[in-house]
Amino acid sequence: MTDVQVANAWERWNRFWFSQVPTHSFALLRIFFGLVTLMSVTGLWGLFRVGDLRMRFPRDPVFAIGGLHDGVAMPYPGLSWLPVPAPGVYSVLETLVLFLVVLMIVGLATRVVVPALALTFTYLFLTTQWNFHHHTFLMAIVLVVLATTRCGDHYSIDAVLRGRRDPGPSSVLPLRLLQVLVVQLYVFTYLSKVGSGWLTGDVIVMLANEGRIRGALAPLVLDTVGPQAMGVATVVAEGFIAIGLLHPRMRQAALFVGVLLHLGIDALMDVGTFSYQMLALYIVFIHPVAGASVAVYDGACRSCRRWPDRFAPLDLLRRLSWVDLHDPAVRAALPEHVWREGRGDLLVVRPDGRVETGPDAWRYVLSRSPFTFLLGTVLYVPPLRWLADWLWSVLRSRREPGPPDSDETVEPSAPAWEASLARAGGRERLLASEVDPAGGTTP
Amino acid sequence: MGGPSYAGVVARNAVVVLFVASLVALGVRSQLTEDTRFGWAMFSHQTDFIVRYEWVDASGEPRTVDGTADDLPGRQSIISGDAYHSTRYGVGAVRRWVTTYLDHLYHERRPPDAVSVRARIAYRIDGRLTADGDHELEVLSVPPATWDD
Repeated sequence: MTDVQVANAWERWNRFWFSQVPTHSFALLRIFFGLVTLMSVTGLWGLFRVGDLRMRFPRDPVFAIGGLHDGVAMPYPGLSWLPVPAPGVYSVLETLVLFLVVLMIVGLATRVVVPALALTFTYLFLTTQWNFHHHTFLMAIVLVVLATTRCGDHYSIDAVLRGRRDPGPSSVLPLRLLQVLVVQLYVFTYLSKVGSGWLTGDVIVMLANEGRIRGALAPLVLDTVGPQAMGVATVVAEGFIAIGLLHPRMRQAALFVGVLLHLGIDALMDVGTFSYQMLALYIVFIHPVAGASVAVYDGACRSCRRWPDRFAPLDLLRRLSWVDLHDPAVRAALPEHVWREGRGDLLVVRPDGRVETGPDAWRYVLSRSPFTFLLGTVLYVPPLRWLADWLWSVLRSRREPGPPDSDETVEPSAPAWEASLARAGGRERLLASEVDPAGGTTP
Repeated sequence: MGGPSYAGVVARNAVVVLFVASLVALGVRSQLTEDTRFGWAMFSHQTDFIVRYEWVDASGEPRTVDGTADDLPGRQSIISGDAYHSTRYGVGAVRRWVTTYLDHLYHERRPPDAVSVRARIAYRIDGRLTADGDHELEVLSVPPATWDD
């Protein structure tokens, strides 16, 4: 390798692991992983027992304290120095976890609360025998990583108290570490299952016989799908997710499969909050800048004007910035033919500047919301894709676009949209320059 | 504005290497030792097993350890003696649990005439363990056995 290649590789390494990004993803993870931790601490999980779900306050034991004090020490290497608390102290610490989780979710004193929560939870984890359950292990890792981030910068009481001052970017490293965690988790679960009784369905049969596969849907799924198909589908899904998460083009499909897999597991088995932890961790794979996807609606069209208000409650992950097509800044940023296409309809400008129009724009918007993610994604797949295209053309023909321009403008909901729009214009000019035989740029 | 210091560069790269290496090492360990704890091999195998604990005297004669379930409350009763158990954590985890319990028995409950305590583990992976069925047999001992069994 030449020095230049080494330097380039080093630069790519640094850019991948240590570049600076806004802290929206950390804040979203704080809220959603906090909610999942709250579910753990209050015993609220399990679609398999959907009719019997309830939260237990002040708390539900996360760790099996009853199995501790029998004189059988099972310390892990290097951890025997940790003082093991009395059962009463365990109970107090778990109640403290509940208290800290609530503070973490609302984002109060996050610089202190999140590290304190990570410390308390990890201490309980390490000093509890039989502490190897994957759902508590995963939770301990994620909380420790989250404690190193500025996860209170946005959507928090801390942010409100701080005022409008921009908190600035932070290292992407914690996001990358969590991405590695999620991918290797799928890799190892796939490797351990392929070539095992999962492919023959034997493991599913054993799990069913032991009563581990349960819930109202269990008999129906076991009878109609069958143990072998369930086993094979699980292994294939886990392998596909491991690969798909690594490739931007396959990521949405991988997340789609992941959502179905984990909801399916939670509907059939008691795996604690593991499924929900994985779903919350999918946040680390979405674009780190909130509002970087720009939904451009025609503010001169009466029905189009309602779209931002209707979609805002669905946009839990703050993916979209809604802007009016007739905003002078939008008009200036978008190429003329793209702007015209947006009249009476929806345009979407992705964070990288790519523009989605027509039914693709709707599919994109729907698949940004956790509530409509499955619907939006499945609408990419024929024959539902063709049905959605037809439906869009019917609705489009009934909608009257407004006049060419309008005085009505709407304030953009986030400054991130400007960068995406700038990329849309720049991308168009670049594409034009590539096909221009003279090599010049098109204004 | 200058970039990070040399120590800062080393530290942040060490975090990356240690984190990734730890996760991979735990996963590989899990595969190699058939112990899925910390290795994300969720429900990869179901292991049916039964354990018999025996005191061994100086002449090598074994006798069954009585009441091995009595001092194993909660979920630890999964390694109690002479009862059928099933686990998803792999036979490697069973070995580790049983060895730890043997250690406890040897140090806390050893009768004067016993020189060691051992466990016979009969197990079957991804299949039901039956009295006349196909199964594997392992013997663990504390202190480690010096004979062939």
